[in-house]
Amino acid sequence: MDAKKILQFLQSNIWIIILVGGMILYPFVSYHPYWLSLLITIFIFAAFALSYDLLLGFTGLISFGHALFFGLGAYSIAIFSRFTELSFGSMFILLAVAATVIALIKTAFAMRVRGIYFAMITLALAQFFWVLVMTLSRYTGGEDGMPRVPRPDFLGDRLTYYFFALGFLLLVYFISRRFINSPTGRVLIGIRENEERMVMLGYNVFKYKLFSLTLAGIIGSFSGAIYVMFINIAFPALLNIQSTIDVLMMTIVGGVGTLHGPIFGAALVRLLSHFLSSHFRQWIIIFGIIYILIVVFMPLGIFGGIPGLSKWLEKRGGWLKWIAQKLKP
Amino acid sequence: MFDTLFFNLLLNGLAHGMLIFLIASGLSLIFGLMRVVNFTHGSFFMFGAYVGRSIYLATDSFVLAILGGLLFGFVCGGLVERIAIRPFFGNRVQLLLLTLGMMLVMNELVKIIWGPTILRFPRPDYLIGSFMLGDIILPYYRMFIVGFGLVVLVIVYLFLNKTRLGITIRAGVENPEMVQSFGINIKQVFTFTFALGVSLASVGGAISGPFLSVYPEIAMDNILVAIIAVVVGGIGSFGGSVAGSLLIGLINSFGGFYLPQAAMAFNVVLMALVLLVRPQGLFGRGGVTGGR
Repeated sequence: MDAKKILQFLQSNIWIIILVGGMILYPFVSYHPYWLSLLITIFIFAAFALSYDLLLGFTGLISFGHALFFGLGAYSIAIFSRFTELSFGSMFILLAVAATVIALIKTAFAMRVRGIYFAMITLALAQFFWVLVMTLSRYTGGEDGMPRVPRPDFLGDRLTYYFFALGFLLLVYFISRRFINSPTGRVLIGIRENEERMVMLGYNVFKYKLFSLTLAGIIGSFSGAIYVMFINIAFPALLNIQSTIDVLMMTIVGGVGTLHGPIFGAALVRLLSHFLSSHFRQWIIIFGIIYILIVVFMPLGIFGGIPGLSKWLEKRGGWLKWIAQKLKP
Repeated sequence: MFDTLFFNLLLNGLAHGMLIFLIASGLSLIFGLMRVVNFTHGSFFMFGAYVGRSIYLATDSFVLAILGGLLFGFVCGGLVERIAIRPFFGNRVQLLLLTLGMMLVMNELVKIIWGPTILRFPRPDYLIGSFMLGDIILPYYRMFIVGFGLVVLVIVYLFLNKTRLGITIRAGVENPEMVQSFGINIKQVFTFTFALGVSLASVGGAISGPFLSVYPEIAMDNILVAIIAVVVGGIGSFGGSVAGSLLIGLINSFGGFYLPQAAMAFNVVLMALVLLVRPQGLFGRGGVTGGR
């Protein structure tokens, strides 16, 4: 790769490089355990929201049960580490296999029912696992959850885990970007726009939906696993409807169908809920109102609204036009 | 087999099924006609319970509490349709996300007004006690719920089949464009149907209060169960919502007794089976699952 190409890569990813650089430098500038923890959860939820956007934004599958994967990751690590002597590496491999199996089941449903019916069946599937976790309390701790989930030794302290979570998010981001821009990703967007046409063109829709659901499932379950290793407890709320609503909101607020949107949305939702919950007891209501306003006035989310904003700024001319050009992807 | 316990569970299941029916029938009609999954339906059920309780405690009249719940649902339903649903018509995903957000706001609003704890809704004197049929004890209040549900069922059935407006609604479920091309103002029909559906849920909440007590979580619990009942019965089919609700109510009652905690799993498995074998639901028409 010659210097010109490297320069071009740096130039086109300038915002990401600045942001990641800032995140890498942050713990050395101000080491505050509380903020570090908040940032770690933001990184993990950003990866989770990104996996949800692969389904909702890029394949057009409305899933109301994505928390199933998150909970699967969380409970797999908790159960494996309590009842078996497996290494963390083999736990993650088994987890990937389990996520693939569930993705296969969901794809089978997705081929039979569409739209809102698919949303309902995924919701039902997630609630089923929630009931399972609540009922099999001998293995899952029931309502109390499973405390004392261990972490690998080399990720013991908070600072290392911070870089681990950041690295995980970056990996997920680049894999998703590569995936979306690959021919397979293009086919998925085609399915989102018009499934019948893709069938007519001879694409095997089952295969492509399976790709998308498997990738989203593996990323989602890995985020759940990394989250549970950080907070050290697995509990049923991780896989119920509220957890799905959270990730749905992050994706919608940030911008569905964009790669930066879910990351930005996860950060915004976590920060907002952090600040609001320390001031109001019923903070969810303020949150709900903000969410409704975004759905009504910016249906494409904050990032999805940028092309429209830059068009509007361009019309104004002058120095606003300069900003508009900077905003263009 | 047919002992006292059986009849108790049967009555319990029917009473629960009737309450689910009051939510599910409106949900099903609204979805069938307008293609909107109204997530606020469970929240209106909850609000109906709170409003009914407040009216009952203030006036000491259970009849007024029921009428208040009905009126509250009708007015609020109509307002929500005009303000929040109509402007976004045709954009299904946006509407889905919007009603989801309204559900969150309503479920928190109730905690601000009435507090987050469980409230007791006393039964009126004339509905306390039980009817003895040999060895079988049949509590009056559960019989009242079943009877009330049956009356609503018959009224709504007659309305949908014998009145001009009801027939228009059913025609709209089949083909809204066709109805409009006959010169009927379909938007007004939409508003009315939405208000009617919401008022059924809200009156259901009002009569559920003395049976289930009143607390914020009834919104979320019931919307999930009602959605399952609608999908099982067949979206847009009135008969389907009756069958689905009673089936789910009985499964919850019997399953909950013999295998507690697994009742929800039964519902989910039933829904998954129905969707796999007959995606349009037990009583739904064919061809509705594509592209919606």
